[in-house]
Amino acid sequence: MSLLDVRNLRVRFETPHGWVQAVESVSFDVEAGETLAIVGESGSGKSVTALALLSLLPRPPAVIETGEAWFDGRNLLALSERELRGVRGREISLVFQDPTSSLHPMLTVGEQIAEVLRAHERISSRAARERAVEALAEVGLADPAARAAAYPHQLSGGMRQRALIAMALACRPKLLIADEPTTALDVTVQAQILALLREVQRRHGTAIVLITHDLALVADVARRVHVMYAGSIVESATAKELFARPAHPYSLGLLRSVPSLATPLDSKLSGIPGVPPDPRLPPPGCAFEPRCPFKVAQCSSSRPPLTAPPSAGSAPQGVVRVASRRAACFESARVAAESAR
Amino acid sequence: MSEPLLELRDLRVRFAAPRGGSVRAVDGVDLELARGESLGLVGESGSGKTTLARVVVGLQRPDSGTVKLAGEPFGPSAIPAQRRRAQIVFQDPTTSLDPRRPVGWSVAEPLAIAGRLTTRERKLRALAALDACGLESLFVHRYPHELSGGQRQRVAIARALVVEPDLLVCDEPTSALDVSVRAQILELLGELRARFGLSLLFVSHDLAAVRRVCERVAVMYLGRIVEIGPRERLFDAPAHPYTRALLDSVPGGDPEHPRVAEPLPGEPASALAPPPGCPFHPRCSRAREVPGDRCTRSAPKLTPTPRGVVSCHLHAPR
Repeated sequence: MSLLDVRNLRVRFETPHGWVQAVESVSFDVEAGETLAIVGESGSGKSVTALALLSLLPRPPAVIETGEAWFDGRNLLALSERELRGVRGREISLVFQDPTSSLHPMLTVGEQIAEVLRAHERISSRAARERAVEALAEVGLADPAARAAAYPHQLSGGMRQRALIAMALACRPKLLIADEPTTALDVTVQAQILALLREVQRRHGTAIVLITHDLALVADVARRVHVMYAGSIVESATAKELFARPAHPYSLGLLRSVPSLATPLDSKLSGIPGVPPDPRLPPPGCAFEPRCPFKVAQCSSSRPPLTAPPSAGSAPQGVVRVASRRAACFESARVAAESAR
Repeated sequence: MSEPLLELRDLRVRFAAPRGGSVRAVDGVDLELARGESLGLVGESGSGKTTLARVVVGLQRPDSGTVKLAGEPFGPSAIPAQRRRAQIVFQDPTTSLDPRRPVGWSVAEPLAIAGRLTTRERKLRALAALDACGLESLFVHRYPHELSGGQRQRVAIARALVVEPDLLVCDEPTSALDVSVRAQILELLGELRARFGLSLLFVSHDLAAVRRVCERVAVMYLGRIVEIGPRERLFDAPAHPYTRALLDSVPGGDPEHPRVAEPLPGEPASALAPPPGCPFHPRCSRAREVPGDRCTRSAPKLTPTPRGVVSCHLHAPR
């Protein structure tokens, strides 16, 4: 059984210019101890999805129209604020992109971690302070006692992100949602934080949902990937399948947009022409249709469901088709064939 | 060899720290850039790459050292006709464009400062610059908030190009953009360089982007250039242990061969109190291979070695 099972989540925002559909019928599950990546660009709905699960969206303007999120036998979206407070930080923790704005500037790092512990456990303030130092040691900060006594501004960006991860993990949650956890960091520190997340997972079996725009990073850490575009999941696959043979034109476009250190220099980077649709005026058919090089007539009128792509007929012998693979595209067989080239 | 377009000699920039002391943001940099060449400047935050970029376009006065552009001294007090020759594109086009002016106005504005053109000539030049950056004439009347991030960055590039500079400095030009748009901006920079014979100084922490765009690459660490060389040599056979670690830190983008190691422990030392000797030695995995504690005692100089131009005692001729 999966640890988290999200079904048919729909979120919209009320704006002065009308309704905006931010998340449109998103379903996914997270297995215990796995790393799942949700990939998308700004406005794709990936962060809203995560915030909605823990009722962290301001309501209004946000409205959760439909959806269930089953976690440990409870529907998170039906819990009271009081019940949610017992879940957040203890069973599910969040780490955001910018550690500077996630930490209280006037409290020491140790005090902030102790506060989390005391909110969830019956523990003396002294024991909480000791546990805070242990938590900082666990995320690889040298001289943790001194770090616990430091204010956020006295730490570097990388140290702040480690402190935030320490705080998120202090109560040993079963699930860690990390929203662009390394985007604000330098590459060497980014590699350190990823190594830390992997280590945490290995040691404690924490499941991780990694929300990111960076496909290269997904390749290094995630087993399964959901690609989001304009509020919907457009492709679900294992990381290996997605990189070897994307079945949605948007995934293919993304992969061809990102240079890696191994990309041949004479190959042209294609990027994806155009821009995502205005969320106030979504197109009636597939949201990617206006930018899509694979579009056919029906794409502009009807929306393709997220289904298993038809067998392209040329699956190599011995390759087991994974049933979890899904793409929301009428032409996914053609896309997969093109992307295999 | 013909005279380089840009020539920096022993450049130093120091900032006073709030509680006394000073930060050597740029600490003795020598650099040359040929006409039409593209040079990448990479390094972590705090390495001094942005400060160096600002000196190059005359936004920051160096404390010592010289900047020469096309053989003439260059700096904040150079005359406008000279300043025009080096233009800069910043990271975030949202904050670098005037939100209350249509973008056509913003693109034409540098012409009003730099030249003696009529309004009509300015407008035509602005249109041509926007066109070169892939934006149709109807964009002239649009406001920044009506554009996507990628379009805004195209406007920022057009505004830099409108005065026909010799050198375009781009400071993290794609970092604030969505992934699908970054590739377009990188390709655009390549096209513009070929079309106008521009020299490019491309400042970025995105090594894969630098590899795409730049023929030569300089790596900075704590205010100094620690390695410089042609793209092929630097990416295939980095000589400095820091360059090696930077390259190893880039996510691989290949799920069949995920990167699992932590390539470089620690963080750069404080620029307020740089370590003695080689500034990289506290993080360097190879410092102990060098006999006689040289790494902790003396700062290596950027010198040509059989492995490339690098400042590292490992490769220094004994």
